[in-house]
Amino acid sequence: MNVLVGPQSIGKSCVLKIAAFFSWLEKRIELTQDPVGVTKNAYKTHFIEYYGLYDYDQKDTYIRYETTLMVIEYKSQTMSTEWKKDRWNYHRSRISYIPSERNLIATISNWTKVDVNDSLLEYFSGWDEARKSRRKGLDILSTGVQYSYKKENDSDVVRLKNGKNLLLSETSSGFQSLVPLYVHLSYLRSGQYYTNRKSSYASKAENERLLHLLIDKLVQGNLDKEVIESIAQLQYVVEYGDKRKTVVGSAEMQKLAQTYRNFVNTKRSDIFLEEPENNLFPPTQVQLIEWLIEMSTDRFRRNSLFLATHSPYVVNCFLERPERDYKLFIAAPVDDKGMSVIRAASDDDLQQMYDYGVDVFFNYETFVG
Amino acid sequence: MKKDLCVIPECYVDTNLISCLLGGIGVNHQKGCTRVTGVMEKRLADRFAIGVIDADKVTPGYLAKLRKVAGLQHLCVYKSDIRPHYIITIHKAVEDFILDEAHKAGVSLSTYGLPDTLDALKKQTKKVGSDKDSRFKALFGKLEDVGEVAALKELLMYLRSEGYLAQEEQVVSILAGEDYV
Repeated sequence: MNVLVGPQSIGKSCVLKIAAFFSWLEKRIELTQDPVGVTKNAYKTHFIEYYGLYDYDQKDTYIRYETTLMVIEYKSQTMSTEWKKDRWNYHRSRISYIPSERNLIATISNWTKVDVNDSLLEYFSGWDEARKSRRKGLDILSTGVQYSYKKENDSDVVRLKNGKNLLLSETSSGFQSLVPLYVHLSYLRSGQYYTNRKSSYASKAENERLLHLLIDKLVQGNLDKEVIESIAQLQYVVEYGDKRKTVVGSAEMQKLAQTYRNFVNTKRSDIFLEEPENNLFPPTQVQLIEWLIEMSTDRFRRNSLFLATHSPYVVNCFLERPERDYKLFIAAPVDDKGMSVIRAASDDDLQQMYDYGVDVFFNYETFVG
Repeated sequence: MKKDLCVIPECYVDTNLISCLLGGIGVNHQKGCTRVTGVMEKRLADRFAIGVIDADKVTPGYLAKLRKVAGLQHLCVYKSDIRPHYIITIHKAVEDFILDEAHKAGVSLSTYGLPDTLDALKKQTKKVGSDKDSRFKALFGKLEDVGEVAALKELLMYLRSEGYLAQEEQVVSILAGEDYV
């Protein structure tokens, strides 16, 4: 879990977008095993254009992204990649960037026709998928209200504590903000794993290519009868998406099958969330963040959470955690020309913030300088 | 940045002033006097703490539990008899204090790019970022060794260095220095 704080217009959202973009890029590189093809034009089309960051790009922009799987560098307007030892240890995730403009959703019914940047459109699309999976009521935290999707008239219904039903667009600004976010996140947390999503032809073809690549790299073409039989079973998995199918064979084949499944089956989500506190009553902010922390610390799913916030209530939810399983990043300006720096608070800093009741929003420079 | 989070000023320009007087260290800036006293009373109940608040708003309940031990025209020091807590109040507010002390020292704020009138100065001090404003830093550098600003500096330095062992008599003695009046 990463929490990013800092003054307005310091570049928090930009950092979140960079992180989301590079996570996506890493995913595409892993799934295609084609770093050159994937990175070609990716920065321009899938980052600058996708997030509408036309005025932010500089000739000397330098970005380095590093995980246990690979290193990706953007330097001198060129992208380069380097594999690391965990190259084959990839676990497919669903990447979701949730922008702060998200509550437009509650008031725009025909969002597909609205001229917004692709990232917002994709969030709308993700919300659409999530809402349609919620025909049965979903309790919205412990607010006492429940959300459900009505297929008959393609509407979003919110049932209030007193039993009265309202359309989402008729609810308070707080619920217009909270409900879509919570429905979407609930879908990422569990709903997506229980919804039958048909794979596209392109996706099936990509998986098949990947399988043969894995065989080539990991089994190195040593195809005896047993291997061929196992490949047939793996292809069955490709074709029918049968996650339970057991692959028999040598330990090598078992490993190959597991690797392949890690690549093609989504088991977790990487969430990049801007200002979860938007329009929310502080106790509801706390409930939401505690729920998000629970989601992100689920050992089975291993979801990740990267959020930017202006709320001391949100930060406090993390500071109060006995486990230091999060990082608090503090952004601060270094000059008047728009340069800023981001620093991770040390364990000592976090302890001091907690012990001395420090409001990091009024004291960010103390922890950065 | 070096910091001392047991020093808790109330607002942006107070934070700038206190930080400058303590050599540029980071302090525990809280938004509003009730937050200063709240942090002292709840989070730092058993720890040494120095609150610095303006006296132009409703008096926080916690201040009433402290005893006034010394005072000047613009500064009052309160001490808790049951906790290692001191609160320094600035009268009537930090802007009056700055203007008055600058005037006494023959310093014009306009030399530092700051307005010389109370209302105009308040517009500057209320800005987010005035806690880091270099114009104020330069002004405080000029004033730190004169009048009540010097008293405030010496008081803060004494309390910080002695902490739990700070003596009430010494606090009274610091504010009784003839130079400050």
